[in-house]
Amino acid sequence: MLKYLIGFLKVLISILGILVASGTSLLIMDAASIRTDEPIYDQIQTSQGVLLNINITIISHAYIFQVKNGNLTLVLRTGNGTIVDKDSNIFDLPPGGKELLMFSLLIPNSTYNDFVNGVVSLYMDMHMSLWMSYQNFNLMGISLVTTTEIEGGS
Amino acid sequence: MSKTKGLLLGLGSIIAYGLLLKTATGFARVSVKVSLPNYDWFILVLVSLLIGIFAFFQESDKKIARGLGGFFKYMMLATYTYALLTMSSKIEILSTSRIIVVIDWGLWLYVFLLPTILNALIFLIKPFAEED
Repeated sequence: MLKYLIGFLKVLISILGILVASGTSLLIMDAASIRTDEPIYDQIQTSQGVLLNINITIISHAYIFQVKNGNLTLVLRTGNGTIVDKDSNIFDLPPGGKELLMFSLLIPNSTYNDFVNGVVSLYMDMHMSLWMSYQNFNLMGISLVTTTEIEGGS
Repeated sequence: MSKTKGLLLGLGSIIAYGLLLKTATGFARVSVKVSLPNYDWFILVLVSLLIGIFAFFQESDKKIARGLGGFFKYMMLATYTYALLTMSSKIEILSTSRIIVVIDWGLWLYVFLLPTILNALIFLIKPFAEED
C-alpha cells in the first residue's frame, strides 16, 4: 500500500516539477516583457514655475500573466535628495495590453533658475512596482527604480 | 549503518549548501556588481548544518531514524530555499544609470517549495514501504 502511495507522490512531484520549471521561466519572461515607451515631454512656463507634462506609454508583451496593482511614480529631485515634485499613476494590464500614463511635475522658478545656471543638478527617479498575476493570484512582484540625470543645466 | 557514507553525505551537504554559496555570493558582489543587502550567511550555514546532520541520520540502520532523517533533511532543504529566496530578493545593479530591482516571489514561492515538501513525505514513509 505504501509503495503505491510513494508512486503516486512521485508522479505528483513530476507534474509539479514541470509546472515549476516552465512556470518560473514564463513568469520571468513575462515580467521582463513589461516596457515603457520613450517619454514625451511638454514644457509650459507658468507663474509658479515650469510645468513638465510627461506622457509615458507602458506596454506589456506578456504571453500568459497579467499585470495587477501596477504603480508608476516619477520623482523629480535635486542632487542632494530634496524632492522638487512627484506624481504617480496606477495601472493594470492584460497580456499584450498597453496604457498611456500622464504625469505633471512642477519645477518652482527658483529651482529652475538654479538648474539653468548650473547651481543644482536635477534627477528623475522612476519607481515602478507591479504584480505578475494569474486570475486572482499574485504570483511574483517586481519593483524597479531607475535614476536618470536631467540635462539642460549649464 | 553505513557511518562513513552518512558522514560523507552530511559533510557534503554542509559544504555544498553552506560554504559554496558564500563563495559564489562573494564572486557575484565583486565581479557582477550585484549586491544582496538582505543576505544572511549565518541562517544559511545553520540550516545547511541541520541538512548535514539529518543526511547523516538518513543512512541509519533503524527505519524510524532513516524515515525521520530523510523527512527533516528535505524539510530543511525547503527552509533553505525559502530563506534564500526571501533574503536575496533585492538586487542592485550598478551600471551607468542606477537600477535597483526587487523581486518578491509571492505565492509562486510556495508552488516552488511543494515538490521538496512532497519529497520529505516520500522519504518519511520510504523505509516502511520497503517491506510493505
